[in-house]
Amino acid sequence: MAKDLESLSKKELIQLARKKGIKMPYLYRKNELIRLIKKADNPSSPRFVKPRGRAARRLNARKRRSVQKIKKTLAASTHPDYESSYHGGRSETVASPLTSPSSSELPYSYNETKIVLMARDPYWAFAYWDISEVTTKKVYALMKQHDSHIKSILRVYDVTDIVFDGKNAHRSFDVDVFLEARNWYVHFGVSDRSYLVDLGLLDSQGHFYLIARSNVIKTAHDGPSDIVDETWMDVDFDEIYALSGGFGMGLSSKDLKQRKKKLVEQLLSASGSSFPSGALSSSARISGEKKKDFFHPEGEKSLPVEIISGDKNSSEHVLVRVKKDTASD
Amino acid sequence: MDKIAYLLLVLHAHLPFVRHPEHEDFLEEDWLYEAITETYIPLIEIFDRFLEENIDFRLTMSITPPLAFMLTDSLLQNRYLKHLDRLIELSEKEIERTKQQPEFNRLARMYFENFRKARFTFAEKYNRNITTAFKKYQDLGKLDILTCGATHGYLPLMETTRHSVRAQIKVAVDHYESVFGRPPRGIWLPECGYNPGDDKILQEFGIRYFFLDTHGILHGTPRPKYGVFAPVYCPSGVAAFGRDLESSKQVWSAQGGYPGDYFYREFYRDLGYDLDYEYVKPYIHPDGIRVMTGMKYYRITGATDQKQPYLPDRAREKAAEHAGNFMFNREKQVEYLYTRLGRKPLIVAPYDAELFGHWWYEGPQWLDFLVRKIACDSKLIQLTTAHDYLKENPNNQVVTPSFSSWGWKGYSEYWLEGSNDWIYRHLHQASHRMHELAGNFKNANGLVERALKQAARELLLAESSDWAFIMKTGTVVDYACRRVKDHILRFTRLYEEIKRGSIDETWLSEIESKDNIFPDIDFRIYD
Repeated sequence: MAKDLESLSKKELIQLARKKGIKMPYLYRKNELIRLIKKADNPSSPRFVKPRGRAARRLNARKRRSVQKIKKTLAASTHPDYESSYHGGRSETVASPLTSPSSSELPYSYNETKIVLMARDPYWAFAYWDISEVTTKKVYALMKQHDSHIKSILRVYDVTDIVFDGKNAHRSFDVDVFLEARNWYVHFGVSDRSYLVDLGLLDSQGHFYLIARSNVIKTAHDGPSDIVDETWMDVDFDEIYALSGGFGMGLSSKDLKQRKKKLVEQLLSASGSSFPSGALSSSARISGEKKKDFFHPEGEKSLPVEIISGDKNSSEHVLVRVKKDTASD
Repeated sequence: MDKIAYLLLVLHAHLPFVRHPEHEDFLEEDWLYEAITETYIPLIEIFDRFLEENIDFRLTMSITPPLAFMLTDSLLQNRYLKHLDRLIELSEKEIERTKQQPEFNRLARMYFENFRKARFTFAEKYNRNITTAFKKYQDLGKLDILTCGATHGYLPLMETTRHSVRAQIKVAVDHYESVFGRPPRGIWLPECGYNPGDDKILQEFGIRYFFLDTHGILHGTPRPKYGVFAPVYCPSGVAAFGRDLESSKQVWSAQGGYPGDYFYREFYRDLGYDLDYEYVKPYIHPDGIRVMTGMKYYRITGATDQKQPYLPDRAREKAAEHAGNFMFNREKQVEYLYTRLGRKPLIVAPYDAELFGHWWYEGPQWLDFLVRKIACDSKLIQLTTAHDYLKENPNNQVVTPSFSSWGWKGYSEYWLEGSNDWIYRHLHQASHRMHELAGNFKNANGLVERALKQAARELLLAESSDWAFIMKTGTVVDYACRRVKDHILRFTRLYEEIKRGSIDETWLSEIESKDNIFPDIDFRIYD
């Protein structure tokens, strides 16, 4: 048996592995595939074997991309350190014997072709898809026809405030995915937009073959709104925002005043300012060209800032470079 | 009333539906028994004393539908009483065993007294159904009881199955009315999870206010003039109240927060783990698994394994001191806010109810002191409920709040990540199928109607956010996975049987008696 397997090409092995129910067979080296197929033939050993070597690296790379950490002050770790009883506290072994030993598991597929997009936070969404048997056959035929020079992708469209006709998106970009993964985390980079995704195949000539189109999601605005209602205006929303805890829960109102003062001082000293430090009162203000730029999109940019002394008699202009990178930590 | 600020304390009480008649002793049912002894009864005893001593108070509590149901379920009531009787027996034995150790002996006596009192409150005073105690204080206007999602389903991840959002609200509202005798005015959204537009569904079912985490209000559109220090109206007219971070932190935080004080009781040193196995065996799980009994003899002491015996009087002084500190800090906070805002600020301070008593043993004492201090000493602050506040302050800004939750990182990540994202394709599928059934079998009666009702129950139970939460925390993961699978599998079988027109009545009766929540459920809500 082992000999027979070794005489097969990798492509044939991949096909065989699929038949045996091995997930993502193309991730494995030839000898790993042979081992897996043998295992699958032997009912006493578990079917799913953790990928090793190259396969593991590729999987991990995928995980790294999917599982990221958002660096944020607001709302980070606001969840209770103390969780209600069943949320922890006990030793992990403390669990009742399971109600019914798993007589059956949930279906792998519902034999439908669809993709569903779910917003996770202002920058990320989760997509899961299902592909019917009929469509799967078509997809494989297409792959075969292109001799594997075709890849599966998610095409992401920004469809904010439009009726999408397939061509009028504000922008779009592609994400390479493994079709067999059946789900993917998608990073948008810009918050407060509407998105949808197409799942499909892209060939080397740039032709896109649609498998399924998702629902539209609207992501949240990561920061205070730019819209101000004139009858409900406050002279200094930043302060109200800060007092409410908008800059993070580690700060009390007193800390904030100090932090603000310190920031002003730092900016001044970094700019080699001629400001006498005594001229700075706690009411010294930082006046950005646009304050909302505190909540700017991903990437690096310059912020022009004007520092005005407490008595409003003098001011300094400083250029601050800010970098926002939520995808890495 | 010349006070310049309002304090709105919210205790969110929730446990998932855990009821396993098929097992004599089921470990996860202990979540309920521990919470009754350590949190719910101590709170009721405090309310009872306020009433006797004429201390005016305003508190808000959410009692989620699964919790309210379990508290009214006779099987669980009887099991709780048995559980409590075992504790009383253990504490009696402990009084005997610790005769020569006065520092422990008086603690054994303390537990014995507390358990006896709890038994009286539970069995005699409130006739085994403690929801009647909470109802009493709501009827007196002292306590505002909020409802929650029917099974604490996390709404933002149901965006593509909106009929599931409607069902979570409608079933909760109906059940609330059956327990508390009137419809709910407010809701605690599960995990404060909110998506713009959800308020329309709340409005449809007569709910007038809900609560959000800070950024839900702060990032609302247009900018909320008063930050979180005043509620806003959603375009639907439903009011949204935002959490104040400063007051939250003092109680929540494990490091800087009050519950970490060295004189407070240590949660992890429990007799169930500390005592000789043979001796403690009758009071732990019959399979010999060591579990917590609730009797704990040590104080936190410090970052050490050498724990010192617990000193109840000293801990009580600490609770009083911390209540004083909390009030002092709020007064400092509102003095500035009052002049700054030009309007009486509102401080919303929500906590998990089970923090009080279960985790933070002295939490109920702290609350007791705080309420008394505010009632008697504070010149600046008055306690309020959302209902009372809106009555006195009906003029508020219209703002559409932002998608948010009070979970880790403020959005949906805790319930949607590698450990638990596999559940959603199944939950959504079941939800679409329920929608299909409700449309096709609107006029069902008899056996088919029973099957449809049960299908709705199974779907709702699978939707509890608790399962995804546990998968992420990594505590009793097998149990959580099993629960999702069992409910989805039961649902799927019902779906297929209903469509085929061949319902297995014996099996249906069996799952009806297991998953017996919401006896009067209206499955047509899914249409």
